[in-house]
Amino acid sequence: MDALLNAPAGRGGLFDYQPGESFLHHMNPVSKLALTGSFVTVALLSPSYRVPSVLFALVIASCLLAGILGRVARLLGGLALPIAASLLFFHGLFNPRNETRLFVVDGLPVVGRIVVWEEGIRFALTILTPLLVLMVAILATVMTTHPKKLAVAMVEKGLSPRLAYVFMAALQFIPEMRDQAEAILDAQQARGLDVRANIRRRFRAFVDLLTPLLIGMLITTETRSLALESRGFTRRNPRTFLFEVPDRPVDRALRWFAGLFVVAAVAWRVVAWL
Amino acid sequence: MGGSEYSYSFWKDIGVEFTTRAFVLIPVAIGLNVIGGTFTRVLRIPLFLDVIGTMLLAIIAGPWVALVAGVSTNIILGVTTSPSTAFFAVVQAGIALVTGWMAVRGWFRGLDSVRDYAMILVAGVILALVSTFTATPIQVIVLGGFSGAGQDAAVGALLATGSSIIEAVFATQFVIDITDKLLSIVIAYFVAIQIPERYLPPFGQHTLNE
Repeated sequence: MDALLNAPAGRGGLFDYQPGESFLHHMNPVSKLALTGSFVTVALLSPSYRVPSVLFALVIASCLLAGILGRVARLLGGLALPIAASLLFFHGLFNPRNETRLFVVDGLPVVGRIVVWEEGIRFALTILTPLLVLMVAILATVMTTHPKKLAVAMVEKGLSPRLAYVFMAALQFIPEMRDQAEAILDAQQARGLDVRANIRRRFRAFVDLLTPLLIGMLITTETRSLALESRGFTRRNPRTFLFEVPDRPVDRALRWFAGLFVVAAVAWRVVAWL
Repeated sequence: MGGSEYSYSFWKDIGVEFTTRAFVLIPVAIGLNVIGGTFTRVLRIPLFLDVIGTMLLAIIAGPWVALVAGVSTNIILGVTTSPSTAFFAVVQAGIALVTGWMAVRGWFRGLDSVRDYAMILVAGVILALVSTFTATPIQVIVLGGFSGAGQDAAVGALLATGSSIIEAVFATQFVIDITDKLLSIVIAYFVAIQIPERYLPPFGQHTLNE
């Protein structure tokens, strides 16, 4: 069983699971999701970038302790840099509420000089920091949770087993469909499909690629639904599982903390608003 | 033709849609939404085309099944590709329900007259509006108007020439959506009518024929 759960999540798998033994790996998946949700909600509710920055430091520290910081940082670079650059650049220069000069860059070619304004940078950071909390928290959850364990834990906490099937099957289908799509694309190109033709031709090609892919998938859905029916897919009885996902008192405590953290943040915002 | 054996109500038949067959179709639609993006890259079509699976499912399996597929697509893309995608699940939900409602109302029954072609175009424009009106608030409030993608340049240019953030995002979003959603619904429709009758769920046989 352990061998199954410790294997990487399959060829070209979408879930970037990293096997390990850290405290994040042992935490109940639902508690991880609850903490992620509460941190993101609190970060989004905050009127400035201070609280989200503290939360960001906290999730980064957890990644460091779990030994996944290097990988998280590499993925975060690709995810966060483009939006961070857009936000800081455009709001720093052009936010309509800009009033106070932060600094001036002189002697640039073409534009001459650029004024960077304080309000815009502040606004950009207020938007950016909750997004960073969201990205790191999700990456940390995904990297330390085997998708099958996540599904089992969610069903134990009341998620419909059918919805769990939808997610697991989709995670499995996407790489499969991608492979099939590439095969169809190669086959059509061998028959003379031109991917550099004019836009009308390429649009027509899009439909020609999608149709065989979809009809292939539809034919297998028939078999698949018969297989699922014969395994009691539509039964409403409680399910038993091949393996157990432990739910320790500390996991329950963390879920309570996640809930109370959000309630406290909402109360704080309401009081501040009154 | 007498199609009276199968009557459908938008609200009352939520449970009826969710057969085992429908649950098996949902992951296929999710895959299609994701693959749409892959093909647009290969064929160099400068659009997203990430709601085709949702629209197709709304036509052949019903609005509520499509809603589950659309929302799940963005949750899955959120945990596997880019976390901020998850916020845009609301857009998928809007597209699913509106397309499904159109299907129930018989907007996708054959292309016999100019009126039928016009209906598809009107559907595309309405869906573009649904997408723009649901995406703009999320884009402005949660992402500050920018997403780290190519459209940032257009939003930034409008912001630089004195528009407010909301105006800049709304205008950019609508220009992209009008093309994207119009093409998506046309593709979804043409794929739907090419599906052999025996593989269509009952909902699709009802909305595409008669």
